Amino acid sequence: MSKHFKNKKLALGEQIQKMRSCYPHFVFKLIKRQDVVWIGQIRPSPLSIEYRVRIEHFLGTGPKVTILSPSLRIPDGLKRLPHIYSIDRLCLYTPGKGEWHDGLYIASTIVPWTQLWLLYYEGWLITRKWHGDGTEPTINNSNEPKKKDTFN
Amino acid sequence: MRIGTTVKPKGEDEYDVDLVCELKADPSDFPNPIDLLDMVEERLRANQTYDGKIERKNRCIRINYANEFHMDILPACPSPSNFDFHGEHCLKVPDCTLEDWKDSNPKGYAKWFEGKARDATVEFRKSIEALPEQQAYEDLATLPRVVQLMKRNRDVILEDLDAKDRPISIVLTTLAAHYYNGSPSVIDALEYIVFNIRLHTVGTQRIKVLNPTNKEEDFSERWANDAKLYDTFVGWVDNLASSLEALRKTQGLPEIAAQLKVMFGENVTNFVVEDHLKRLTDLRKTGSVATTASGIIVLTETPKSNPIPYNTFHGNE
Repeated sequence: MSKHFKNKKLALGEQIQKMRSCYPHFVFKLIKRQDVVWIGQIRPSPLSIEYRVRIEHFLGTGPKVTILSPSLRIPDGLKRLPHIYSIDRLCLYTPGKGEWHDGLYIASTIVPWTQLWLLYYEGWLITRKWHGDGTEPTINNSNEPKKKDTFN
Repeated sequence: MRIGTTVKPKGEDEYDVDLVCELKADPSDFPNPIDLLDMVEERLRANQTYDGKIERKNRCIRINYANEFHMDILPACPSPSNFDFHGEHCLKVPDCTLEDWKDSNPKGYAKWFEGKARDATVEFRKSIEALPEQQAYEDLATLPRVVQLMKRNRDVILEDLDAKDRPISIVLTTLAAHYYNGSPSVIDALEYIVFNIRLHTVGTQRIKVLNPTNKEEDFSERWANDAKLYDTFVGWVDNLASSLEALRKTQGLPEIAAQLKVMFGENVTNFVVEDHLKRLTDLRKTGSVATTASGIIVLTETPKSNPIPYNTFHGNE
């Protein structure tokens, strides 16, 4: 992609089209013609089980990914899940770094990042350590709006 | 060591290094073979470096490097008339208990093992694809890996026994090479070998594991004198077979890892997972990671794959 078009916002239809071609087993639902929710399965590695995930793309906010099933676990002796906002919402990218913007396809970024998150999560369950790098938190959990499931 | 089947000792066990010291001497020059052991021991004791470290064993002089490893030095003479089918000189080593020479052939054994590792693999691969005859031994490392896993499982499962009461390595190595079907897959080869050992241990008669380069020598001779040791071996094989069966049925990475921890130890399992994931993270930083249409994470050079842009996982670690 040339630099000139880097930040050109993709239309919702383009996102949906790309998701359908890359991940045809994901189903989507349009909400008020401006928001979209996808639900589908992701298998982090060939030896892993499938996780059912939900991807929200609402106007004016970054995509939000939650794991619907199975429930994320915390090994004995550890307090909380790594790299996660409230209610199992995954912290896939760091705001302000330009890693995510509206000119990028969800299918090429958010979905593989979710897969990587799940792989590192499984590694964390095994070794009790996060091996995927990342940054320290800057967002206060209490500021996260608790969205109710609009499509489940 | 030569055949690449050494395993790191667990817990209080030490590395055991065997050094065959081949002397250019005729065994007939030593009417009493023990003299040869005495001479080597005397020479070592004359050197202060080994002060307090020397221990006399049945067929060797042991140098103890406390809590690290011990080295067994086996003085040996070439047997003047005895060649094995590889054309290697057989060796004669003094044996204190027998008060006589005992045949030995470490080089011939290594060649036999390497031959098994290579020939079986070549045959196996020929059955699926054309393969060049020449292949480096390191490329055919399935059998040595299987032997390492068997030895490691033995040390984990029989941890509470003294090392000397566990099935000995030469027996496991010989059985593994004997039953190896040439599969390049470590898990397939391990399953096949364990299945076949089990087939032969179900009966009441004990199996004999003979030295493939000298059929007069029974590597498993201690089973003849101590039935308990053979029972330990049979129990261990049964247990490994059950563990492998459970492993095949296990789904999910954390669940598979939990089973591997039971079989091979927690630290080594964690190390493998960490190593794999850290390597993945390094590759992501250089933009070398992609995903395929079927959702498998691969390197970017894989045809028809889509690169994954780098992302920084945010939030609490």
